[in-house]
Amino acid sequence: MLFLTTGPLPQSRVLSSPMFTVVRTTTNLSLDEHFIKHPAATFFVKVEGDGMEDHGIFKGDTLIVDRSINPEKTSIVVVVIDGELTVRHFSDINSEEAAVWGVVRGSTRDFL
Amino acid sequence: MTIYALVDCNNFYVSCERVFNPKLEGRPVIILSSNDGCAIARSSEAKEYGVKMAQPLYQFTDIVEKYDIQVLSGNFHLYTDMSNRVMQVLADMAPTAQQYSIDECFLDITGLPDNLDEYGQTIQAKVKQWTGIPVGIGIAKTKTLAKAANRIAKVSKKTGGVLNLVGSQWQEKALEKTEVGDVWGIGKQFAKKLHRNGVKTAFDLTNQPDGWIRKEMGVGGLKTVRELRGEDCIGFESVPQPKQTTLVSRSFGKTITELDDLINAVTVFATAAAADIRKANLVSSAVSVFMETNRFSNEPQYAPSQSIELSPARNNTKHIVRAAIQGVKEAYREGFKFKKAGVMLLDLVDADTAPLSLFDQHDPKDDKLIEAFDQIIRRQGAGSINFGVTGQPSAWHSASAYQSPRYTTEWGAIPVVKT
Repeated sequence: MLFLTTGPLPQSRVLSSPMFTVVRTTTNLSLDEHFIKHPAATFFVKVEGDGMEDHGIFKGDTLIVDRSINPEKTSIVVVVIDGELTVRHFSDINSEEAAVWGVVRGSTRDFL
Repeated sequence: MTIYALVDCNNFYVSCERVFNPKLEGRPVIILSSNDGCAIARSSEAKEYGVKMAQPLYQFTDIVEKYDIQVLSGNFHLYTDMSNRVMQVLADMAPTAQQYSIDECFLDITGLPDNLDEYGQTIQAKVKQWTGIPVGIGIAKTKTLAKAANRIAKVSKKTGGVLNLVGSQWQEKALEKTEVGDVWGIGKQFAKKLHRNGVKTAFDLTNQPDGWIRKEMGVGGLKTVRELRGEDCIGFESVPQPKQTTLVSRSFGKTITELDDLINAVTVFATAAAADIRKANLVSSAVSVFMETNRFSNEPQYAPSQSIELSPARNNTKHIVRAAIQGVKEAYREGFKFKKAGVMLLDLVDADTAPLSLFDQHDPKDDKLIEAFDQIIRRQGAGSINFGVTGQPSAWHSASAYQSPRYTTEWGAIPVVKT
């Protein structure tokens, strides 16, 4: 991130002078910051199978699961069905067979 | 008056495995020490089948087959990461949180909630939701009472896993229910002696005269008894170390950013920790290293930890320092100002009963070296001599035939979800 200031900030690298200085701070945009709101409760899981394509979730995607969030009707969730972690739309689950494991906050796909 | 909550994870290692492998829920599970030597954790179902703690695997293979018990090798990367998560959740729920072992933490919940029982349940529910780990909680006016309450909370279904002894009629009942040998700080020898003198429960112990206790059990023993009577003697300053783990850590006067400086610091901690367990004739099968930035500053935050297995279990400074350095190298990232670091030796067992490895190349020269090393430390003080970093750490060979994936610390090992 670039800031314009009238003088060098302490402990930062000064790139140019003299009318004003451009200071490069160490704060970069961080994907962690974007996706991980509760580090202690956030887990990553990998998608197997193509049953969730209608919801924009594809085989091989890495899902960011936040267990601290309570699911809502519109949530995509990871649930335990027959002892297996399974991804579902919250409105599609039968709460007698499936226990919510965590709420899916986001999905990432590596194109390379 | 301080109010303490002791939060203790139920069958911690087994619970960690169950979070990512829910099929293990309700099934008997046993976790083995590194090198698959003996049982170091058992689910409640496995306990019922009679598997004992620290029992060697070959002694219970028939039970394993008969009852279809799931046997797993210890996955210390997973346990350390899950422990960090539990501790983080707890640290946010009380102004003071003091980790006591990999799966236990004391909280200061003085003046926080109006209803302590409810707050205990809130903590329990939050840890369970955020991390998947079930915990038991004991709440009391002293640490020793909180420990006793926690013990009862875990076995008594009625409590739902939370027992509060503050201002309740249960305190006396809890002490009557607590066998004297189960009191925090009372060793086996004292327990035997107390039994011979007709002191069988914690309640009996609180009724002994101070003079007799001091004579028989020393000042430390008297402290324990006063704590049982509800007098806060231990506080958050001094904590006796638990038997299963030992921890050496320190905050730095000036923050550390360079890897070399961290390695130096951790070498000192690992050396001290190794000396500690040698004195107690224990060996460790995993070294955990952690470092953290200052939580209260606006600087970028990073608080990693890394566990390195020792196989076979060891107490030799050379091996422990080497493992600690490997851990630091793996966990370290540039660009952070570290305020604190530490070394924890996990999974301690008696050196004489520790399982040996086929791959163990015992070098008698090592013993002499360590003897000389300990003598210098005794004469000149800690830090007067240290192991230097020489060469590459060797690959740690370990059997670990039944280890689960490192679900939370390795990209290639994250859990798979079906669709």
